[in-house]
Amino acid sequence: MQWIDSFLSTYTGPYLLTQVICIFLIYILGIAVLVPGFVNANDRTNIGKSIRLVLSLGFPIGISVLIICGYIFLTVGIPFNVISVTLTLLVLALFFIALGCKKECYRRISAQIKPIIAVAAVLICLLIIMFAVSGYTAMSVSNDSLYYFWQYPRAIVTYGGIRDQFDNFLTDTGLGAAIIGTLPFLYGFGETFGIQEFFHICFIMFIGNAMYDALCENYPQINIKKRVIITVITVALFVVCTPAYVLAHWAMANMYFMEYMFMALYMMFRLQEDNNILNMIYMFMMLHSCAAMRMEGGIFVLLIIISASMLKNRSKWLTGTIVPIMILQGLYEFKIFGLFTIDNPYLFMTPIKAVVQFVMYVVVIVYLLVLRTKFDRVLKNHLPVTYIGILVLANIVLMISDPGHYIANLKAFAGNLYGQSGWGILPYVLPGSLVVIGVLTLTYSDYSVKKAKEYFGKLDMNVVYWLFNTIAFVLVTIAVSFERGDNLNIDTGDSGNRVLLQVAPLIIFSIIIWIVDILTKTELIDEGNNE
Amino acid sequence: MKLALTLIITIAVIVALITRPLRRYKWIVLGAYAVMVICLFAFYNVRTIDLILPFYHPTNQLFYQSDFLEEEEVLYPDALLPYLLENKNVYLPAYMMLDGLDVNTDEVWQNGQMLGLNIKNILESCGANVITGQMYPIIDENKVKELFTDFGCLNDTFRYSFFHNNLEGEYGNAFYYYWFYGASSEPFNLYLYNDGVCASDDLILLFDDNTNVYLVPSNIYEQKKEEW
Repeated sequence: MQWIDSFLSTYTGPYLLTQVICIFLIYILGIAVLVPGFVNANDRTNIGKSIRLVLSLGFPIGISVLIICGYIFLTVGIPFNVISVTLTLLVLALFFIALGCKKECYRRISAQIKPIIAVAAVLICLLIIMFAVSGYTAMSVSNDSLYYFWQYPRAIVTYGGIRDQFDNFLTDTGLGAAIIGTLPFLYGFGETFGIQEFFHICFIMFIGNAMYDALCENYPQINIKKRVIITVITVALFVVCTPAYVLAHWAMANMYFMEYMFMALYMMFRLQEDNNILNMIYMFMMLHSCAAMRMEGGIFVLLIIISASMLKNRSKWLTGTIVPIMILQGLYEFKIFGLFTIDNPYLFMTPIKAVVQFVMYVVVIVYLLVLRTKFDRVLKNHLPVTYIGILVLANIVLMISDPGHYIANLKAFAGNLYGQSGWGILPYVLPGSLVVIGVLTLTYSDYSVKKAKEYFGKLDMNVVYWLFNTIAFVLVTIAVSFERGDNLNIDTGDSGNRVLLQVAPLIIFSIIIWIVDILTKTELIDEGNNE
Repeated sequence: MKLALTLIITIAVIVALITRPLRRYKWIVLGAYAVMVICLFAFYNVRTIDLILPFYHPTNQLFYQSDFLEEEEVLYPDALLPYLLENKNVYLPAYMMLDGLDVNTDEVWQNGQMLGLNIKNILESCGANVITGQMYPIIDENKVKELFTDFGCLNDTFRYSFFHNNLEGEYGNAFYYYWFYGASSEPFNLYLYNDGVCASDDLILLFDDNTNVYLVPSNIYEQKKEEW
């Protein structure tokens, strides 16, 4: 259609440029926030490691800051417009830059990085953003993309806030995703595909970075060549893995949720020895983005907190990260259910579910501050098995409460896994990989089942942590889908299926870490035998 | 196919891992396994990803893609309307006028009168200056259809128009439930006149008997109104 094409093309140039500038500035904001925490002026080593982390986390953290601002504005009732949002972000950026200067982080960076490299990095970054925005990568849209993540954010900007006429948009759409969707209408461009694509590119950097650093930390005996190869394989697997590809190129909230969740899990593991206040703020930002991205997000945030509590007894620090999330979420839910009138025939988030979620926050906080702290010595060796046991038990209770509904959901999950619902070959490769791991374990144990059992009994926490999170994520997804009310459908777009697709990076990371763990141990034994 | 290929690869890897001379190359064997899995994923994606979801290349920097027009069922006309209607005068037929309407009664939406209110809200939310009062006839779709292009179904546009109303309660939303499950389940579409809609500052909004919506430049309408 020639005439409509030529009409639409009049927007292309200015919209592209505005979106590139917007993304770049949010990226800079995120970097400014992260530098004081991750670049240590007194640490003369590992500047490269810190910079890699800051560069891959910069944009997601910038978006998190935007989400927190937007969430507070919309909940409290501060006018949400280009001036209020821009000024707040600017003040925050200046605050963190000042903090970075005070801690001499920038002096250290400038001492170690030549100006020409910095300029080249900025140019490369702009080129990558340009590529992300250009539209050459594929993107899929659906009805939800248009109404929940385009029209609803447009209405938020039009009215400068949320109002009760927004009705089921308030209860069915994660406010975080809607806030990302407001960027085009605040700053004058057309869509958020470029923002999503650039976020995904940053996450690809992050997952590569995470694997490389995990190998350095936990398997120092592996040489650099192998580390690089394993990292490249991890990144390539994630990029082509069908569930991750589908979510990353579908204008919905699921990609943001999947990637924030993985980032939060990894950073919880990485920062387990480093419980300072800045790290607590960063974790709050990532976890809040998870909670705000989807209506059931809070449940998964609690799962992340529970899994982090297995690592070290740092209950006060963990409580510090989730109390503000609980307060913000509680305020939002009070606003929509207490102050607004919403009586749509179908609501995803209901007042009862909101209260249950709030109570769960309180229970987890009480657990962290009382039980976890008090019984540290007794609990710490049995936590993963206990937690999984509790989740299995909860699922059994749900099944007993309504067997027909529960089994219908399981059938729908199976139908989606083995039908063409965005899973690709993952449901076939995963059991194959587990068999390979089993065979590897047996060969490592000289085909002795007793030795193999011993290996499983003494798995390192870096393997257990990822396995636990993968299994727990699946169990929580089944439970949350049960609580949705109606039966799940066999369809790519079914929300239960989309939530389960989010497990992809966890599966990839766990399997690779597990295989590396066995290989390194067998290598040590082989070396021992040779000697 | 997927199962067979995965099975063959897995068995090959297991055989290699348990064969004593190959065991010392386990890093290479497992590396090759990973590469084969990557290739399988890539192969699967290339062949079938478009069957899972429709993908577009948004090179025009807008949500609205002209590829939507080539779909079996034309998609998302409301993503186009804000660009088309911003700062334009749109003349709405007088029979859509809602002045003095008591919107707090069930009768209003049960009689389908919410349609007019919702159309006004939608147009204004797209930046149009809505002018009502003039009487435009209902047109015969058979006479005009070839002069217009079908931009797709507007039912969802009306369904979600409620967040632009200022009514207390849920009347806009109730309209949706009434419209979809009661009075009409037929799709009604947006049609744009093939020439001059984008350039014209004055557009007239017309209806046919099936509530299809037609947007036509006012000068064209003046020329053609006798024929229509």
